[in-house]
Amino acid sequence: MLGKNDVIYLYDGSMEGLLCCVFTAVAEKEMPVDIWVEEEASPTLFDTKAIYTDPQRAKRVAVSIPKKMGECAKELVEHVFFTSVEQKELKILRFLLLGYQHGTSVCKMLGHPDVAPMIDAEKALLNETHLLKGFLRFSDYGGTLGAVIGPKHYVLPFLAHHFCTRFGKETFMIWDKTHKAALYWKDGKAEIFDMQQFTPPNPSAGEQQYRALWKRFYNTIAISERENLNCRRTHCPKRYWAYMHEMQDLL
Amino acid sequence: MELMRKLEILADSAKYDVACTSSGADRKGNGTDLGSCSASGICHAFSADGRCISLLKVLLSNVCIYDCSYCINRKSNDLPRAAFTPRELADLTIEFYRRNYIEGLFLSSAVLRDPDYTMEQMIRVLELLRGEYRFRGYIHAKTIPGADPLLVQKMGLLADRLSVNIELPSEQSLKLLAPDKGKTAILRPMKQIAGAVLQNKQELVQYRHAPRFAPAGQSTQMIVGASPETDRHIVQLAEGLYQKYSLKRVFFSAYIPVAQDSRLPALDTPPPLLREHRLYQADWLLRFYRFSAQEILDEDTPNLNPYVDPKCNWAIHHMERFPVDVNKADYADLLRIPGVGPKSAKRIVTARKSGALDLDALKRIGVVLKRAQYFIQCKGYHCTGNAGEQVVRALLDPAAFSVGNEQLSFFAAPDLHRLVQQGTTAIKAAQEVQEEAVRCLVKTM
Ligand code: SF4
Repeated sequence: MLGKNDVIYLYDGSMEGLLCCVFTAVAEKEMPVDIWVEEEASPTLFDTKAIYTDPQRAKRVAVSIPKKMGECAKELVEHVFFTSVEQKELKILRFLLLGYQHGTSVCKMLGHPDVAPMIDAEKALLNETHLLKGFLRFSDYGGTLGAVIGPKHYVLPFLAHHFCTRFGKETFMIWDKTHKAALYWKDGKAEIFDMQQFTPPNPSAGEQQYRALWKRFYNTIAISERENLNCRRTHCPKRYWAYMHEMQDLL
Repeated sequence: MELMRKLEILADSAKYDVACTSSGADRKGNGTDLGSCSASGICHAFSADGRCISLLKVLLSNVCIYDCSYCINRKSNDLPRAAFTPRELADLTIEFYRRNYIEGLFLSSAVLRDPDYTMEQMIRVLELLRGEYRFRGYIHAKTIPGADPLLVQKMGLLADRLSVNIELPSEQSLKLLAPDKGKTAILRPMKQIAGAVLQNKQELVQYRHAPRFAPAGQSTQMIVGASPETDRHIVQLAEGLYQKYSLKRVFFSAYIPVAQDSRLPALDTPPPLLREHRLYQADWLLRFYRFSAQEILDEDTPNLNPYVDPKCNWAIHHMERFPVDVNKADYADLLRIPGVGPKSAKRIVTARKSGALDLDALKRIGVVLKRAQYFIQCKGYHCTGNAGEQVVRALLDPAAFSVGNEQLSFFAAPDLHRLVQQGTTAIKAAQEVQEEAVRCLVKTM
């Protein structure tokens, strides 16, 4: 028998939509077994409930978070929403329900089963952001820099500040192949937009020369007596290699 | 000479330098000029030896007038020689930086004509980068022993970090192996830099726009295993350097034989990687765990135990300090628990304010219970004493006994290498040495 609570929420995949799920769960005093993006939903034995995205409701929830549990909770929720961890929606809902109970101390309850997974998810996102600040490779296409990344989490908004301030005068584009989105920076303005496909132009002779120099440096700087491929793989997981000129042909 | 070949020669000559970090400087981009620095540093790649590549690490030149016996660039070594022109190197740095290959430049050099001339050439590169190219990325420069203090000062105003390599852990070894360099030539600039960094801090309080002197401080490195110093000597030396010259980092580099020389270990001696690893762990205890050198190694223990990390080793020898009550102990005592690091200790301090922590909560916080369980008490749990052998087994570092493909890893403890050389199979040797290590450690508890 499916009880009243055995329901799966379906939402439109937006942050606003998710906040409306939170609204419904609180209003109806119900705990869904999961929250799915409607487009990606698969057939299920559970009851489903489509949650309508109402900007008014979303706003009420959005305002209540920093007010009831502080800025850190707001930030944590936003960060986790950008991750691709499993059941991130449910994690966010559980965390917020706990937050409505405990107020500002919720961010400090690091050992709580509804808080620790949020902290871990946020860490995964920030870790990947940090790694990509290093592992991302630009190529110079006639003065414009271009890069392709394939991150697990939606890190583009978090990379933007770093690269835009670092390369102030340059024009560049970073395409996120996983999330089909691009960050474009030109004349001091940044923009993130959807981009389904991007095929980098052929590298010029000059560009190829720098790639070759870099590759030579990379190979030379290793000390063969200390070779430790496991250690390399731990620090630089294979899923990044396809986008790094010096690693590509090791795959 | 072709740029490719030069880069190869000068990277090859620089590769034994260990420091490749870009940490310690925090300089935001300014919207127009190229570059920024992030305080925690950024690794851009990892080489086949598992080390982080953050900076373009090269020598300006590997032509040397000195003859330090442990160094591949020594005068008497038959080696291809090359030198970058300052412009070449500055251009290469910028082009690598734009492509996000690097955080900046780590510039060092062999001693070209004399120390001053070499320093001037290096400064020229930095001037090009900071002046003409208005480069705001990270620069680590190594000062040349014996150079004029004015040049050191000049370099410090251009670089984020300076280093003076102490090279070997004692003056006797330095005299024996690097007769051209004197200890004073090393310690004098170190002292000068420490003074200048401090003075600059005061100036910055008064004038926010005062020019910055080596904002990421200074570091040093020493080779271990080329000379006979004990670990205790080395750890004490490191502690002294941190205290006296406020160094940001002391790096250790396992000696890799580069010369047939009666003063040095034989050419087939494996580099002491495990020892280097233990020294780094001890160094962490000094910097982040509030240990003193004396606590890590006392008069009766000249060397670090190869089979357990120094913190676990300390715990095994100080069982009277445990169990630590996780819900009450102060931060410093939490740090002493095997399986608890600075991050989890801080989390414990935060989390326990909203309720006593139990084992599950500790696990979620990131405490490694496999080790910690023998040393703590918390809500609903009190470790049982007398678990001697079990404790030791939980704390042993598996890396010290690692056998892959029936072969010993480079990392395995020296005793294992010895047994294998005498004809024992790798797996059997690992078992034997491990059992012996357990017996030994249990006895000391
Ligand atoms: S002065 Fe430096 S480069 Fe020259 S031999 Fe000595 S350690 Fe090597």
